[in-house]
Amino acid sequence: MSMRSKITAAFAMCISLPMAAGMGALWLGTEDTLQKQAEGDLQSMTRNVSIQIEQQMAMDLTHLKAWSTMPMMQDVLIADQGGELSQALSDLNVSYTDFASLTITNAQGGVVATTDAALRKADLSAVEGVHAAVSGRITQSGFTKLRNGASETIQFTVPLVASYDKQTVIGTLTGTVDFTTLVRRVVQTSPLNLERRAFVLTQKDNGKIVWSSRTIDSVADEIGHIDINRKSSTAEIVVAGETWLASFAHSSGKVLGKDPGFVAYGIEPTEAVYAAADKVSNIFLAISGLAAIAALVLAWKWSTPLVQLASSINRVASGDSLVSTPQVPLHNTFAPLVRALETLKDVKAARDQLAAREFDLSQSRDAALADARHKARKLQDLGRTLQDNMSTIVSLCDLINRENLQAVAGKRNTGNTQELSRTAVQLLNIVQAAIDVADVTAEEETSAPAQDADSALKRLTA
Amino acid sequence: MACTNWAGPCDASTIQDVAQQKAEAVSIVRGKARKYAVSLAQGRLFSAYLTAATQGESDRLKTHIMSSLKALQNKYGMTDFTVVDRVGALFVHVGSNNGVPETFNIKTTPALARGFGQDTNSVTSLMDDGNVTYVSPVVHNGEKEFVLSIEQDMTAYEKVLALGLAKSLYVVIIDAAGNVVSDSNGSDNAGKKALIAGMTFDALRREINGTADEGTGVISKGGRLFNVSYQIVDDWTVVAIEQSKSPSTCLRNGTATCP
Repeated sequence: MSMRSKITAAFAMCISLPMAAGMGALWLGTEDTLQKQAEGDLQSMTRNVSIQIEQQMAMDLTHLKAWSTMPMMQDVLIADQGGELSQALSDLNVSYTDFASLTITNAQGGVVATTDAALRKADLSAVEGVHAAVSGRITQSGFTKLRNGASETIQFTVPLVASYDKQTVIGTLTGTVDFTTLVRRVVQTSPLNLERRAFVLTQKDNGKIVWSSRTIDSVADEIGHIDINRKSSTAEIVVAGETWLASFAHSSGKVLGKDPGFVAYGIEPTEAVYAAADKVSNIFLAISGLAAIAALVLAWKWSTPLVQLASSINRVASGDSLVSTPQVPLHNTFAPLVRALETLKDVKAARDQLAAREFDLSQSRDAALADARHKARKLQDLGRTLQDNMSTIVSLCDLINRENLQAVAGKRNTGNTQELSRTAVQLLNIVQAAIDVADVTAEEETSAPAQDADSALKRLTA
Repeated sequence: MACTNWAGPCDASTIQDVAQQKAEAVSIVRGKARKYAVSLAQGRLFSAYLTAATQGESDRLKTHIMSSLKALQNKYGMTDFTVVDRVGALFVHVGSNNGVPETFNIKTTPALARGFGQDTNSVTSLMDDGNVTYVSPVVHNGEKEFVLSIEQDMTAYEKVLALGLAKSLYVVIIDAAGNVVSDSNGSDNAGKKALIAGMTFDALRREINGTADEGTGVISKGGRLFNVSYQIVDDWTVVAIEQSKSPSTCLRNGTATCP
């Protein structure tokens, strides 16, 4: 791995690791919060719809009570001879679609007027709600059928009180709740009506579906498996191979006075529930990616002068003192390093110069020494030659002397020959002295250039 | 608690409830006929007809008047509707009676005479051949232009009286003269002097110490006891009678009736 890669990786890790740790913690926390928020939203939506259904039912009951006090209701005493009750019920039924049917009975439970053709002339005295209403009570049934063939629903029954004494019950008014219309209208104003979400209303007792905003065959089965008595009000179900989150809310009966006995389910694909959390995750991932790239770029930028410095140092180290130093601003972190490298380069250059100088001096000294030795040798040779010659001369002189001695006997030219011998000896001594001087001179020339080079080096490094 | 279920016999106190309810029912049936008589007579259709600019418009409005009358036919026992103008000419007739003349003598026809003698927005009723006739004038610009006459069949009252009654109960309507107007057992006694447990109504009222408007009590005839209660409805009286299956026993002294 190249130095640049190592340095960049190191820088990038130094930048990204703390950032990744921080963002990871933030992401985990945010995702968890968003998921809980999404589940809470679904619960809230479901609970709101459940409450609104109950409130709407309470409103319907209030309407029923108000209608029961209309003067026209006294026509029950004459069995609606004029048909005004039937007409009024039809008009009310058209205006108030929450009721599947409206039925008026006399005090004996006989149907006097109704919007349900199957109930005309029927005897509802056995119906619990009618029976109770005849005794003066306002009743709310459970999910029951008012007649065979009808769907199970809730009926409100209010007594019709005689206007002449304000206490005698002269009949009953029963409103059969049309959950299809009521729930649809409530759900239409709810976020649960949005695409991919569904709302299901079931009977609490037996789990039968009362109304569903979506036609999914397996919803009933899956919802039936949910334990509605569990502590948590959300559960995961699998519908058509897709995982859905189901939130449920029990009816309370707080506004009605009696629990209507239904369970409201808000269901939504898990993927959609957690879409916000996933979106945040994606954003985090994108930001993390960008941050990583930014860290790499930053690390690359930061490491560039360092790498250039390393390269320059390397080249300087390998002997290239002419290498250029990286250009960095003065305030840059690596500016001192660059300055140090420049100093190193100067030192290196000076050393090289000195070495060259030393080499030159050394060469010069060696040459001088060689020349001196050559001269000395020549002098020595000359001296020896002179010595030899002088020795020969001396020998000749001695020989001449001895011959002269023999001639002395005849006493002729003896003084000159002695002088010649003495002069030759003196000359010989002089030659010897010259040879000695030449040796000394040669030795002095050998040691002199080194001292000059040292002093020059000292001057340079000072 | 008031008696609300008459499937079985009621006691003397609950017979009052029966009388009250039947009186209210009779009042409703009469009130409906009166209301429609006034509302039709004072309706804008007659005013529009009387101010119509063309014959065609008059004919169209006359058709509308007939339609509005037909819409009420057979409701609350209203069977025949007759409108006569101020010279006695028949203007409109809706009903099953085909023997209605084209012209009337206003002075000799009681309903018309009373109708033209009525004030605006008022209605009067009179008994005639087993029917109740409600008459109201049609007034335009202060002038009585027409008289609207509505005949109400007494079967409407018979149905109302018989509605929800147990076999042991019997309800009858008596007019101011003490004659039977209608009863829950049919119209056989209509027009006859009312005899309740062999007593006339006046005798009955005295027997039970009732007031002019209402009264409730027990009367006996031939060893049989009858719970009786009556209520006044305008000039009619609704009387409810029940024959007790066995004499009531007074808890105080063990006799049939308490002193």
